Amino acid sequence: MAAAVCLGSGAGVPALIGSAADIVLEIAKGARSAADVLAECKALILAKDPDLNCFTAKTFERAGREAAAIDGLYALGKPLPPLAGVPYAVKNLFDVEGLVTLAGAKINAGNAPASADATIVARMRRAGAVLVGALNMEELAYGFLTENHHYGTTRNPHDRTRGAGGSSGGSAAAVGAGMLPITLGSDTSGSIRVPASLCGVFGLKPTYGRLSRSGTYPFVNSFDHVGPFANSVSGLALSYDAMQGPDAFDPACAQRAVEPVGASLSLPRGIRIGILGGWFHAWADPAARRAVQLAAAALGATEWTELESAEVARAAAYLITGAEGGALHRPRLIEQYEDFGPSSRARLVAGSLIPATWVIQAQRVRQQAYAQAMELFDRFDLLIAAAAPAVAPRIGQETLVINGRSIPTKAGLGVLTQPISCIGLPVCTVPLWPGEGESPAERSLPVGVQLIGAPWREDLCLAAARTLEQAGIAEIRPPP
Amino acid sequence: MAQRAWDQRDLRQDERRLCDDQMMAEAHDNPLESYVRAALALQGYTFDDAEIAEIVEQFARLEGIARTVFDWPLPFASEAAPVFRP
Repeated sequence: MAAAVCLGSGAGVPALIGSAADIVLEIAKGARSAADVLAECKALILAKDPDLNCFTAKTFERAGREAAAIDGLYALGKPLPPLAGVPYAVKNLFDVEGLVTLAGAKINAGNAPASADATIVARMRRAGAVLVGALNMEELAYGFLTENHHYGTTRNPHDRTRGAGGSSGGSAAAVGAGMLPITLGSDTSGSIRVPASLCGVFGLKPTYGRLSRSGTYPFVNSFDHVGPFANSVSGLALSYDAMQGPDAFDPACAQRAVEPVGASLSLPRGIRIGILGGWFHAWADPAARRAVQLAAAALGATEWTELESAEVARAAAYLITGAEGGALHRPRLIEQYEDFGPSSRARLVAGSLIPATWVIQAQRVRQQAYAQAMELFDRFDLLIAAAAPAVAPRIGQETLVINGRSIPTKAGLGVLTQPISCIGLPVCTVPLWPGEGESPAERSLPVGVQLIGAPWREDLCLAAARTLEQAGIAEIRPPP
Repeated sequence: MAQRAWDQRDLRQDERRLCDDQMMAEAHDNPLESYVRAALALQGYTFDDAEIAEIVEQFARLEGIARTVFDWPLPFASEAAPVFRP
């Protein structure tokens, strides 16, 4: 059967896989089988991954069984589930039955394989999605690059001399390279939004507590979120709907019923959209500012506003992250310090020394920052800001210079995302191509824009993303 | 097995304490380094000077960021963000 949704490369391997919605439709119509889609996906992975280093494990045998189950349902004329035959992969901090959950760390390599799938991996399976592997990430999710000391650097599909961002770098690069329509990642301080921005893909960080983290390797319980990447807004929505629902095994998971967004992705009339200035403008370079400007114009947003507590919310997030991450890993830092990567071990130890007064003050600040954000949502339904301060940095680049101010790359890439995840707001990141930069290479790279909603309003974030996608402002571009 | 591990850790802590007396004296002029050395000892870490220097550098960054949090005015009775759900 024909690979109708793919752009042909002329070399027997298509350039990009299609969207999840297209794949579902083609399988439902009988135009392709789930086995056909899987074969195409495997060919793309085998052709592209050696250059990019997105995968740490491939689960093609399991994928074959899952695809065959879908084709069996089709053959029997039974109804197909919502993600029937859609291939996907997960950041390697999600439990996958039979695989060791690495979380990007050597210290986990000797652990026993997971005995069951993480809750949201199991939900994806029940929705008919086909798991093809586990993806590279920053060690223990601590940092905004995926330059992993143990498992290698994940390269940016749009410029292999540059990084994919992190910590979910493998998840973003696999979608940006056209290998997969959907991947899963986690976001503690920006680890979905930053790599989505750098790799030019769509990403959704839902409200804190919306999606279950049960069966995922923890980093900072106060901030850990999970969510999807996709090559289309409909892909985000389909997977988000499939993964929703309460889960008693994650104490932070909200006991809310599923609130599906799939059928209602249109912006309500009269929606009030504010553009975040202040901190968010100061830490956005000309390319990032241009991306915000393009998105704002397309959404009809003209009013600037400020989240006054953005800087202090970021500082609070930094301290809580250090303290909780350091406390989590302290026993093994004592016993196995040499087995941690050199870029994370001293930071983790330093975090474990943070005094309680700093953490308590940071949690008080966090609560106040949340209250300030809620006041903003009295005036606006949605807020816009850049997702990263600049385009993807070169691999090994230690410093970012943003509007004349220097900041270490590893921490600085999250300067615009940390204040938002600190207070748990839902965000959809969309890929824009501002065409700004000092070199032709920089001008060809994407910058993401955050569409930020009030708690539990993922529907508005996704609807705004869909509006930008339909307008051709936010789009997936094939890598060179 | 668990007891043996505890015994070994106690031995290492004893060795470290001997060294720490000297180090603490040298770090006396730098409160931040003194704090890091004391906190490391209290929490059971054993590091050489080069490793401690890296940790001090990282802790100094955290301390700089902590100032932003402490400078932020808060109502006296403001509560921390909740994380515990019984």
